Amino acid sequence: MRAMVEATAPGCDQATVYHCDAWVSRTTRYEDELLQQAQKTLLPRANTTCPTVGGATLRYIPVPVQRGSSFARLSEYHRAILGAALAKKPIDASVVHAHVGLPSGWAALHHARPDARFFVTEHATFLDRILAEPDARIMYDKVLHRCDALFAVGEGLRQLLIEAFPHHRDRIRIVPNPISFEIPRPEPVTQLRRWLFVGGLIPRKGVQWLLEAFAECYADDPKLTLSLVGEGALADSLKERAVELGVDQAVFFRGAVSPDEALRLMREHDLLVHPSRLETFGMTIVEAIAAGMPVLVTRCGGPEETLAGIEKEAGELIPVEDNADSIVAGYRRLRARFPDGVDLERARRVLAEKYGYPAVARAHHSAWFLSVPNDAPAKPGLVGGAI
Amino acid sequence: MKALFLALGATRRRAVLEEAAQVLAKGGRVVVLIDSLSAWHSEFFPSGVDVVDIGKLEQRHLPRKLEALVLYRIPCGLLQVIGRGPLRELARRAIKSYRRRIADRVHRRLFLPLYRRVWSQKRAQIIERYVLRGVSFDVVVVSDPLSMPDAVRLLHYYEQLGVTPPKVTYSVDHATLVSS
Repeated sequence: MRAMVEATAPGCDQATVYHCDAWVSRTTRYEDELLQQAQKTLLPRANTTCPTVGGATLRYIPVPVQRGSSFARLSEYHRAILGAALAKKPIDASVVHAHVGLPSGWAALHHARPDARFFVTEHATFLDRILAEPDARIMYDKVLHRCDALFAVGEGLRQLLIEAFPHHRDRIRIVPNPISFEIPRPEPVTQLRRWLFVGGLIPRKGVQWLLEAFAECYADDPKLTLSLVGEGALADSLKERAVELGVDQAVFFRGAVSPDEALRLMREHDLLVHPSRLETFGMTIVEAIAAGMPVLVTRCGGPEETLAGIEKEAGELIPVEDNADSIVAGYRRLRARFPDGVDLERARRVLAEKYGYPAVARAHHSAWFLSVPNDAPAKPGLVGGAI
Repeated sequence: MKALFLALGATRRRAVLEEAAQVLAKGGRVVVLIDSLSAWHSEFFPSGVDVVDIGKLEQRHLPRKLEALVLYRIPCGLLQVIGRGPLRELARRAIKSYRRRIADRVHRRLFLPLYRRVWSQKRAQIIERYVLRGVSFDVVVVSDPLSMPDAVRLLHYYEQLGVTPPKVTYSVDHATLVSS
């Protein structure tokens, strides 16, 4: 979301980002009603605005959410609280672009001006779970019905949406996430020793297999290190396992870091290892190549699409397996042909043409402002979930 | 800047600690209101932060004292009496288990909602008495959802006093800007 604003806002006369952030808590029904009411009272009196990237204005809107809410209910919370933040006036923008269909698309749908052009970007890895909920599916259908276009970030997502909503096929197209290729790496990678993982420490990211694979490779080369950037349910068990495997002195848990810090770390490491089970796009992989590092990544949906035609130049793609073997074998293959067998400069160039800020901004601007009269101000309102 | 953080739900602890440190680094003063110190046991407040445990102060209220007596002190006291001599270790485990599995749950699910519903003004009175009296804040940072009703009461308190309330925000990053 942050990258999208940074890429697209400079082409607009004015851009406002409504960042509706779900604040989840364990409450009773009665307490939940109290919280909703309290937040509706507070919002008009609270300072919520600050400048953000790309010259846009950010309006931060916490949405109190009862733990365990369905996607439909979550969307309703967002709709109601955004309404309170707007003091029941519509979003003052000729273009409204929501980041994900539910909950943001649903909230924006109810508060966009009737004459506003309406767009949605979808990148949720859990979209199948959203669509499995009957109420949420109906809401998604209504969002699509109002949409001028929905941008799926990858082919897998587009197919899922087309299968669910064949009657909206014409509105669903692919526009990828934008990635910054601005900051070059000071020194090129010469050895694949400093491994980096960026993502949630959760089973879906395959991070438990990564640690096992690292321990096996570390036994061959004790100069290897592994930095894990992110947090998640597996954090404690991974720390314990690192001690059991005798690699705790070479594994660094960095916790959650800001996007800028993650990019800085990429420029300081040698290899991104991303053994995810499922990715709709694989933004981290493109960011890593933009930061000048090769990648060792699973064929988990998005990455093989993103790296199509430059697989060997960018690093090594490996199958999704519930073991460490494919990661270890992939690392050994990559190490054997590195550096001559990869061409990061070419990979970077190819990806920049597809996913760089100018390319993705062009795709957005041509959709947003196409067939808008020349004298109409280019003024989008972006409604997003977590940045 | 003098900042009052309402962190009664303890669900966004990291944000509170980071933002409190941010205010302190700029030479400001920070008071953090929490509901229970135990929810923060794994966190370290930056030095210079005044932490006020409202939950502890609330325990001085008679209904809370009665609840503590009925739900904690009497059952645990009985178990202690029974568990003398060789049964001491067994009693210690039974008390621990009773507190975690029964008393804490009943407190959370029955007494706490009842308390919030029937004596909803009590917490506001405590905040007024122990935190606001004689102190003026530039900004109130509402840090989690459970703090929202208390933030509303705080605004009413200032309205009743007829004084300009502090700025209300959800992040200190927004604190210096005018209301949107």
